[in-house]
Amino acid sequence: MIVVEDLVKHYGRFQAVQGLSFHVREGEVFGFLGPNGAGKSTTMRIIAGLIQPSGGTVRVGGHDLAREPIAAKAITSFIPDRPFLYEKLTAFEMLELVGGLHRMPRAEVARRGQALLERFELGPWADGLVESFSHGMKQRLVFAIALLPRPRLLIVDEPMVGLDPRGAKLVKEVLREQCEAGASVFLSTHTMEVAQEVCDRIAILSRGRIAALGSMEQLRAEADQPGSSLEQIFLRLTEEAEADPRHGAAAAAEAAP
Amino acid sequence: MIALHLLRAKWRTITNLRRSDHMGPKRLAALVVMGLMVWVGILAGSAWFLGKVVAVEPIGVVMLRKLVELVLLFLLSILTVSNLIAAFSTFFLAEDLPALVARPVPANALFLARWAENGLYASWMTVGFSAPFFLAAGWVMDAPLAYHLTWACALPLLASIPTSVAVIIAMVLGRVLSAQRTRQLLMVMATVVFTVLFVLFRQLEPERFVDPDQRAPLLEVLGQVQSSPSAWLPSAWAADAMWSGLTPLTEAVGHPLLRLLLGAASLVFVAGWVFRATFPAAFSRAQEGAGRATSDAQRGRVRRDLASLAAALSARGGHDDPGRALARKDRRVFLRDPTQWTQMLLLVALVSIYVVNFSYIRSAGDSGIIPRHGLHFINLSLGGFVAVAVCVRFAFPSVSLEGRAFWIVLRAPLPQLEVLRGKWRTLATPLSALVAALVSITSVWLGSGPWLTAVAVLTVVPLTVGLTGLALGLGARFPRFHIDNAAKIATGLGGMLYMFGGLMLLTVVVLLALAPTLSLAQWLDHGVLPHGPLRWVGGGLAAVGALALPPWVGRAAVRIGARHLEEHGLNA
Repeated sequence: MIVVEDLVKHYGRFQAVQGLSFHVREGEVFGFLGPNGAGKSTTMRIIAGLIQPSGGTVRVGGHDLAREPIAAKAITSFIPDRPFLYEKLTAFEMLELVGGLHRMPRAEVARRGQALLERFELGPWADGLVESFSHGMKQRLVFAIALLPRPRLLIVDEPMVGLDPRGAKLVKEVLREQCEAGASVFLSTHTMEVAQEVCDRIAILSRGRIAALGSMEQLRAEADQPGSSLEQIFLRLTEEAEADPRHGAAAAAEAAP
Repeated sequence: MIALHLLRAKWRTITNLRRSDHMGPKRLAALVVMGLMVWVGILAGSAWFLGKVVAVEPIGVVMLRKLVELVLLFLLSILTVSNLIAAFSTFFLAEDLPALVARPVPANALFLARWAENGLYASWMTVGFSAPFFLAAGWVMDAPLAYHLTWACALPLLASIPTSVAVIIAMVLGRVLSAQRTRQLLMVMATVVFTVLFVLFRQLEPERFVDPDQRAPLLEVLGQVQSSPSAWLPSAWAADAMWSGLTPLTEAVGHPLLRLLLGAASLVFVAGWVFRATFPAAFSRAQEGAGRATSDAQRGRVRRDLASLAAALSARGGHDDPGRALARKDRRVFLRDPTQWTQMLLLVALVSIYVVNFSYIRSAGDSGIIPRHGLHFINLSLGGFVAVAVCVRFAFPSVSLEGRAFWIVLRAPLPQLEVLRGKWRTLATPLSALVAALVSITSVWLGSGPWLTAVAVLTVVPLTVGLTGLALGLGARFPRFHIDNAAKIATGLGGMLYMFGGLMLLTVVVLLALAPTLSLAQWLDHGVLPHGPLRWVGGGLAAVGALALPPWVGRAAVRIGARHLEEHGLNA
């Protein structure tokens, strides 16, 4: 679903992403972990089509993001870490707007929008202005509008921020359902339990490079820590990568499609 | 000391601008150079104009006195508006406030730091760019150094008065109303104050000073200068203070600068007292604002249930077009945001000022000072100037006002060029209609006749379309997504570039329209057409240029803006 090759992004002299290469398969939840400033959000925003890379290529669903951005965006939905929405629109009007941007039939927007608002427990507030919503309600509304156009790829940056345990459980269920329906999920999180619970494969990023990539078992093997938790593996691998920037070259080679 | 410490932190944020990614040394230097050019331009223009005014015998000096009074009154109105709008953000919404309030900062220190910040933020530009006018007044009058020292002291003192008034009003309103209502009310009050001060400005009837038919009564005004109807306003105190420096023979009641100083200091004291008495409760109320809004909104605004909303949408059938969906979103957001209504009130005020002031131009035409066809071009230029001003208010901030929610549009499967073109259509239609209506009404009023009125409308419509595109494109090229005050968005480099480019475009279009319009007027008046193919070709090309250049410029600007958004997104 996603093929990233030699991705580079620099802001002035600062290299945020340094030659990333990896792929995300159809129907899998791909976790993207890393310490603050590792380049996760930059990479996700590039794949979501929000910023352009300085170098390298990204293909989404077979579409080159540089040449066919519209086709790539049509099959992708993005959930940012902070749910900025149009405060003066109602929840239902937000869905109507996104449906219009994706040229969806009004009847389908109405039917699917109703189902999604109910699913995310926003039904009673469908006609309420977004400005009156709490952070968690806005986050759930962002999920609803992201799922409206039936994306084949869901890019999620920190999905659990602001959600109560009930909301967090709902989101985990939704992510798994997306995969079961054949869609892919590209997920970034600092919550190791979530990553361990829902991700099929995980990439650990450090200083703009991939330090390790694979399933939980493969990561344990790479960290040489059988039976350990993802948090322990994460700390070990990121410390190693920070100490030796060349670390992760093998993982990067393995990540290439 | 703590107040100074707090202000030093703010000062550092300004000095660090040269290191900021959003500004950078090159952009900062460009901004400073452009600002200096404008400052010198105002100085040169003021010196030229005031020189002409003073040369008018025997009343030139009286006219200068009145002009100084008018400019100070105008400054006071602008400063009141900007301080009222800024006060709410400075005292209730600023992101650093919770951290400061949570620390052991004495109330007086917090008040003084915020008061100074509000005053500097809301007044520096108005005071800074009005200074060359007063400098020029001193030049043309060969004023002593004491005059220059007087205006240099009087202007900051005058500016501090609206700051204190704004703080008092914001505190009282914040104590009794929710944060959102306080903000809305302050916006409305700012507009009302501006309108009231404008009415006072109109009472001074500036056109009387340049209308030859009205000059005789002006001599009577000579005796009325000391008993101005606005003598109770701080602007009159500042005018008295400056005038006593310009003409030492003036008999001022008391020392006017001392009056201004005492007035300003008393108001700071009162504002500080009100701040200490009300701020803790008002700030607490502002923090609770979101919670209260939730319950109010849930009770009052949720009118329809989900099933009926879905049924209504489904019943409409078909599917939405992205352009229509975005236009509908813009319309809804505009109608629901009270801060946008005050923009509309300001627009109404601007149009009223334009129409009312046109009486002077008409009288200048009637008295033969300006030839009839000259009035057509003055009308065109003023209409274009209104278009430039309206576009900087409505079209330039259009992309920035999307705010951080713009990621939804950036993520949508449609090119940014299409998004901006949709906005261009939505904005250009009403703005062109407004400017066309204005120009045609004033053209008829001037007695230009149907043909020249049609030409005026034909010239001004593509010009407004182009200016809208230019403002929109530059607004997208230099977006400021983190600022929610439309008036502040246009104060950066992009806004200055737009104003400069817009006025250049207006000048070029008026110059291009000269030859074809005058040929048409000659044919209408005398039935004579231009001779020779060269004149025909030249006139035709100029006409095509006047009509085609603005939309072409607008199109190019929109393309540049769209490309920038595609490349940089919300980091633009």
